[in-house]
Order: sequence, then structure tokens, then C-alpha cells
Amino acid sequence: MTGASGEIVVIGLGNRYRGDDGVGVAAAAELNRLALPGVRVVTDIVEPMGLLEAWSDARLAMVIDAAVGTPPTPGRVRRCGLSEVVTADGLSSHSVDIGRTHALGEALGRVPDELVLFTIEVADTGHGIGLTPLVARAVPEVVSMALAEIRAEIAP
Amino acid sequence: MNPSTRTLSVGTLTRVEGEGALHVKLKDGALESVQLNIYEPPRFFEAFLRGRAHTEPPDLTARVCGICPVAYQVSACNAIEDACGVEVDEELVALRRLLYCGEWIHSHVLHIYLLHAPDFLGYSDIIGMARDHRQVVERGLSLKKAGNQLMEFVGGRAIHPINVRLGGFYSVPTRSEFAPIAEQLRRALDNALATVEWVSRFEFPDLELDHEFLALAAPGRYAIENGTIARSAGPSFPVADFAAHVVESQVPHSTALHATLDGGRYLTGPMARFSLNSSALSPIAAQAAAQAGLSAECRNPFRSIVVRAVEVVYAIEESLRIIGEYQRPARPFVDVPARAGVGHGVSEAPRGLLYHRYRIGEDGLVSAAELIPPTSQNQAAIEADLARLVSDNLALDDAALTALCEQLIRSYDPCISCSAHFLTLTVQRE
Repeated sequence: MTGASGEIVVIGLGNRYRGDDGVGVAAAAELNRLALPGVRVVTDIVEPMGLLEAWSDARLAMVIDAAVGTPPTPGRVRRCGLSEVVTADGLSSHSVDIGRTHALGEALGRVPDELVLFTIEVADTGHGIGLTPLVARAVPEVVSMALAEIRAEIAP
Repeated sequence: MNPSTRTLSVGTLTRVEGEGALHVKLKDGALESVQLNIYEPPRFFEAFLRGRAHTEPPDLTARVCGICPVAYQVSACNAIEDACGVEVDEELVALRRLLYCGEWIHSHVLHIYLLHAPDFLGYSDIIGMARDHRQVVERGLSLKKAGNQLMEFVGGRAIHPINVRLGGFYSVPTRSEFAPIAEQLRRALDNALATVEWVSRFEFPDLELDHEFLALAAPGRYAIENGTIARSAGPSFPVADFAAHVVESQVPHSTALHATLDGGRYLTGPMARFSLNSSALSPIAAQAAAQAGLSAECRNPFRSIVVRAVEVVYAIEESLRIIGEYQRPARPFVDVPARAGVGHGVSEAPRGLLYHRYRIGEDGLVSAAELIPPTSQNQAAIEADLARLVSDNLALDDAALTALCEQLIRSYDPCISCSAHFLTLTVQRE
């Protein structure tokens, strides 16, 4: 286990060259601009080991990622637990599966003390940079939810 | 259940790179057919490279694979520099080889620890293995990180490096900047030797293959970033003659092309490299290979995990040698002005020989491109080995036979994303 002295890590997942898939990276970049003391922002994770490296010593890790809803509600923000994340059968070096990566982290004692996931439902993940309007409007919402988590964590 | 008609299917085969399936058909207790079905959609790289500037293929083709982008960059550079009649400075070639060593370390360690070792230790994946062998998995992750960081240091980033260009690099490090990387590699060498010792104690199913081997060879060293083409059943030939010997053809059940060497089946990759070049290994790597029980040639694909581990030792030693001799190159790159013509380039990707051919037009644009990755070259050999394995183990029940087939497929570390540019398994018994 990590100690309570660990930092807070915000992890933005996604590919900003695939439209709305970059919403997690966009939200994390907004939080990075605030330069909050004791908060580290990571946005360049492309494989599961990167996720383990990023959150290993954290007391709180917040992962922000794009999601596909059925039926779709583009721009809908959800705070969810690990059990709500759909995971694949195996750990792949070609994609980051949060559930499977967390299970590997647990086996290695490399998980944050607390993990919070925010998902934003997407409309278009085609080629190109930029978010669709509904998804772009969700960025301030998820940023303020993440800020509330951070404040609650650092409050005495 | 009628014992003469059995169909066995496994969902997506895990721990391979990409998407595909394997169909095994048994009739009246005998093997009828084996088909490696690569259904990952074609990616049309060779088509969209046409009309691009001659400087672009190293960056564009790097995107073929997130595990071995350096292989694509280097084969592309070699081919275009060949077409343009440019020779790259020796020190820049050494730096290219160093970057490539980082990719070998990262890719091989990923395969050994995360993809293949669970088969030998009876786990379905790395997660179960990590619960029981935490220190071992941590050792693997540390070793992989050393490879990643070497790639990041020389290439600008670990995946799809951005510092590579025709003729060399955009920028080259100073000698003193290598100190932390060298220190990390020295520690990694101990972990690499422990890895060889660890995998050498696995139990290996019996299987000896008889394919011809094809790999690069280079005088006085284990070929990585370039070389001439060596084979086990014939004389070496120059890279420019590759297309005269290796012919690709389409098969209905795969989006990846199959290849033959002078009409015959052949294998490229770690076993071929080791069997053709083991005398060129560095002393520590050669000693590790001998202690692991490898002779001068390896023909059991299940033992390829040991060969990979030995190659990791070699890549680390070689990295330390290059760093030890490093003097900052006088220039980061050699100019490669476009020249109309055809160029051929090869290098040893972690999974085997990767060939590129480009035709450059009078306008400096690519007018034709051909990429022949190792996994597509190996498809026919993998199918033949599966046929042999199934025929030799018909007495096994479906679950055990399926597991054995999956283990064999993984021993080739197939990269389907590269070859299709992999795997649901179906065994049909009639």
C-alpha cells in the first residue's frame, strides 16, 4: 500500500487526434493549467504499465476518460467506481484497460489508496483534433467535479 | 456427444498483438487442415505511401506498430538512403543501433514476462502470475522500463520515436548525458541474466521444426540495424535481391500475405537469428545461452523464450558498448537529397526480418512502396508447426490441445497489427 503522504494524480486518458476521445486529456490539461500544489497531471499514457507508473505512489488517483454510452448521451459526465468499468478478457499492450491494470497493480501492491473514475460520453471519435460542442461543454463540469474531489482530499 | 465430431472454440486468443483466429479441422481422428486466419483489416500503408515526400516513410511506417516502431523507421531509412545513394556516418549508425537495442529490450521483455511466461507457469495471464511471483514480475517491469527509457532518451519518446529522420537524427546527445542511462543498463544486465536463468528452467514441450531460417548477418556482430541476408539452406544474398527470393501471395483465409523463400517455407525471428548468428553473440550473452542449455542452433519454438532472453542480455551489453565508445557525432544527420530510383532496406525487428522497398520518382515523391513484416513471412511456418503439434498430440482433450496450440502461437510473438497490416481458436473434429 502507498502511504497517506502520497500525492494526488490526475490522469487524462485518450487520443486527442480522435475527436471526442481526447476529452479526458483536455480536462486533465485544464487541471494542469491551475498548477495545484501537490497535484500531478499525466496525459501521455499509452499502455497499462504507464498507468501503474502514474498512480503507484498516489493517495488519490483520478482517471478521466471518454466513454461510449448505450443509448448515447454525448457530454454526460459520470463518476464511477472500478466495478462499473467494463474490462476485457486479457491485458493488452495495445490499449489501457483500467480494470485489468488495477488488478495487476493490486497483485504488485501498486495501486493508489483511492481511485476515482470520471467518464464523459462521446459523440464522435473520428479522425481529427477537437471536441464536439456537447462534449466540450462537459469539460468544465468534470474539471469542477475533480476539483471538489481534490479539495475534499486535502481538507484537514 | 459424438466423439468423432467435436468442435472446440476459444474466444479471442489473448496475449498476442492484434486480432485473428485459428481454425483446426480434424476428420476421423486425423488432421485435415490448419488455418491461421488473420482478420484484422488491411491497413493500406503501401497504397497511401504513394505520392508522399521521400522524407516521410520513416515517420509514417513507424505507425504500423506501437511495439516495434524503430524497426519500421530503420528499415525505411535504410531503403530510402539506398535509393538516394547516401551512406550514413558510422557514429550515427551506432546511435541507430543503440535506439534499436532499446526496442529489442522493451519488446522482448514485454513478450517474455507479460505474454508468454504465464503459459509455462500455468497462469491465464500476468495478473495471476503477479499474485504468486511478485518479485519476478517486478523484475520484468524494471527491465522493460530500461528499454523504454533508452528509446525515450535516444528517440525522444518510447513509442513512435520522434527524433529519427533520414540520414540520422534531429538531435544527438552529448557523452555526459548518457550517464544515468548507462547506470540503469548496468543494473538491467543483472536482471536480464536472471531472466535467462529463470526461463531456462521452464518445461518445454517437444517439437523440432525443419523450416529454413532467414535472418540478417553482419561481420563481427549480431545483426540488428542492417546486414546481408543469410539463410540456413543456401548462400547469402544481397538485400536488393530480396524480391527475387521472397515472394508474397494471398491466401483466402488471411488479410496478411503469406511469403515463400525460393518457393519453400521458412522462418524469420529470434530462432533464425540465433541459429545463424550465435557465434556473433557477446561473451556474456554467449555464456548465458550456454548455461541455459542452448546449443548453436535452436529448432524448438517453445524454447524461443530462452533465445529472446539471451537477446535481451546481448542488447544490454551492446548498448553499454556503444555508450562506452560514444563520441558526439560531428553532425546529427547526413543530408539525403531525393534521387529517382529504387531502394531496398532491411533490419531485424524483434519478431524478425523487416524488408522495405521504395521507388522514388523524378519529383522526389514515393511512387511505389512495399513492406514485408516478419509475422506475415512466418505465417506458413506457424501453420505447419501447428499442424505438426496437433498431429503429435491428438490424444489430448480439446482444452489441453487448444492450450498447447495457443502456447505455440505465442512462442512466435506474432504481431498481427504488423502483418495485417490475432486470435480466436476453433478446433473442429468430424
